[in-house]
Amino acid sequence: MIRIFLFLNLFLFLNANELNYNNSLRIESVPSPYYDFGVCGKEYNITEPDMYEIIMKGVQEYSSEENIAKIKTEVRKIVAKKAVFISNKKYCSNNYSTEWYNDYYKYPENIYNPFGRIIHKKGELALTPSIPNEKNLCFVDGKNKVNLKNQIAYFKKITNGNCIFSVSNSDVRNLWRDFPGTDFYPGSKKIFERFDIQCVPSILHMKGSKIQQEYFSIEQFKRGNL
Amino acid sequence: MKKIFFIIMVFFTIQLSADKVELKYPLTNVVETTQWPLIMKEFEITTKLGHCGTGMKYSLGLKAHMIEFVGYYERSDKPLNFIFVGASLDANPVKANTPYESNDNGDTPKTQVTNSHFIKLPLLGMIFKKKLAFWCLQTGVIEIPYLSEFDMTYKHDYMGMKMIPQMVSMFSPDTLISGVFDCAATETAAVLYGNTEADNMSYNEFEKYSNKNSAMDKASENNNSMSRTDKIKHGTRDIVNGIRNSIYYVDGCNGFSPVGGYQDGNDPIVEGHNDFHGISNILQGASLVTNNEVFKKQSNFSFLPPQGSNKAPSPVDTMCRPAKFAMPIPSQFGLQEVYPVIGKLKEMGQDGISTSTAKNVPGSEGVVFAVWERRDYFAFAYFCPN
Repeated sequence: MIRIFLFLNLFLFLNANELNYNNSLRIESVPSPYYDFGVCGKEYNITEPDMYEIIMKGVQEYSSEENIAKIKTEVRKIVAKKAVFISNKKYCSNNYSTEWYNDYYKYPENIYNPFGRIIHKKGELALTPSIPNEKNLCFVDGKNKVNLKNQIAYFKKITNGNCIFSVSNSDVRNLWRDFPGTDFYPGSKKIFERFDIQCVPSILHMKGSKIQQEYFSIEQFKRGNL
Repeated sequence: MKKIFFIIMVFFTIQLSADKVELKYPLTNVVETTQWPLIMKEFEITTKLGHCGTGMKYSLGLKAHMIEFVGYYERSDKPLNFIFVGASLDANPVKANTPYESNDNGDTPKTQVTNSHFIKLPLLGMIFKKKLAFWCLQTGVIEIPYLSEFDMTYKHDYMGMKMIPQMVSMFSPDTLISGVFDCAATETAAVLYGNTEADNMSYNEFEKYSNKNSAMDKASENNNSMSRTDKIKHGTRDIVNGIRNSIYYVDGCNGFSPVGGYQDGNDPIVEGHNDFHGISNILQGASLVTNNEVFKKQSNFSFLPPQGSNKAPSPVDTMCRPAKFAMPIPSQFGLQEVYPVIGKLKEMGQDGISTSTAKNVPGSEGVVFAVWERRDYFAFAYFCPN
């Protein structure tokens, strides 16, 4: 109701001032075909501060040293939070692997061609592009630090270092330092879902348009078992 | 003797030009680095009526257009180096030195991948919140929705293919040819938005530009000449924006939208633009990398009409509220360089051949752009996203 009232007010104002030229105007506009009826009564100076000045003052205050220090702290907190992927994914209890199978991708939204035709419907399945050489994506869990180091060492060994790591429950920045030259990324629930990963530790093998999941029992990575 | 004189002259010239450069981190000097007059320059309200909602939520509004500063996009060779505020988190440099994934022939490209961040910082909305409710500014707190250091698709393009295959499926000779039209449309849009003046400017020039009176005068001049020409201008702008957004897999004059973060390292400014196009795709929710879409469709445009038809199909209507749209929308965003030198707003994909290479500042830590986002909406009736 208030919106309708505001709108009516503005509409009446616009008509009263004959601003409706070419069906268009700008907020600070001065109409070109206007009538000067002179001044009647007492004139008052505008006491309200300029809007642009208010905006600039607020923005200036935001970049104060105190605020910048706060933002730096906030940035550190955000990065620390993003560097760790907290996951409750279950541990694998035995070693097994799936067959190689075609990797289909489900389109998240309608995809249009330049002429507006839908070329892929939302939910449609499509075979993913082919990868010439075999690649691996290793899923490791860092709830136990010793286990984690064993998982990384073992996966690097069996893939000849041809593996990028999706890490759960451990800060990847520490792993960058401890394992230089190896790529570690925080995992995500969506990656688990995308590749249908059932448990960790595991490896996703990718070749051509096919993929295969290989699972490893957590027991073999415990202290003294490897 | 002449040679010595020449060397001395070159030395002093370099020294003098170096003295002119003030490397201030953008957020520490946010008034001067950001092109604030844009908010006044691009704001438009018409008398065209529209309505949003039904029943008790029904409200009438006027068609309007605005642009607002929504955050920073930055690139740095050093990982976890947040240039926008001058915070380096001392990440292990080993991470930065890991070369880009080798290609299928086993050759390693000559350059290394850089690190990209998008920092969501809708400053005006954060500061003024409901005071400027008319504009319906985005609000919230500082967020970092994209950190390439934590995104495996950025450095390993095969992971990008697995997570965003729809962009890869558009790579073909036919689509490459359509890039020519996209480039022409982008350049035309830049002219129509008035973003074709000098790429960069000094602090003094910027102060002159950012003077509120000159901005107002400029707006006033525009209004006085509001005529049939302006109407044509607006119509043309809608058409070229339709072309740009239809050819979403091409970044204007910069070539295909990248899947992954590899760039050849020739021009950090142009490459920054191109890189942002790829990242905007991720932030629109086209990839499974991010959990939630950060950018939504909030601009009004139509796709190109199908062959044999005069009617252009319009994607989801967003005049009343923003909507998820999992493809890049180049016309909705503009990038303004704010570090190491201050530039003017450029359209996404504008100026493939740029003079920016010559203006890169030696010793700078990377490049930072202010990200500006446009919106078409029914003022007074729009359901503000916050």
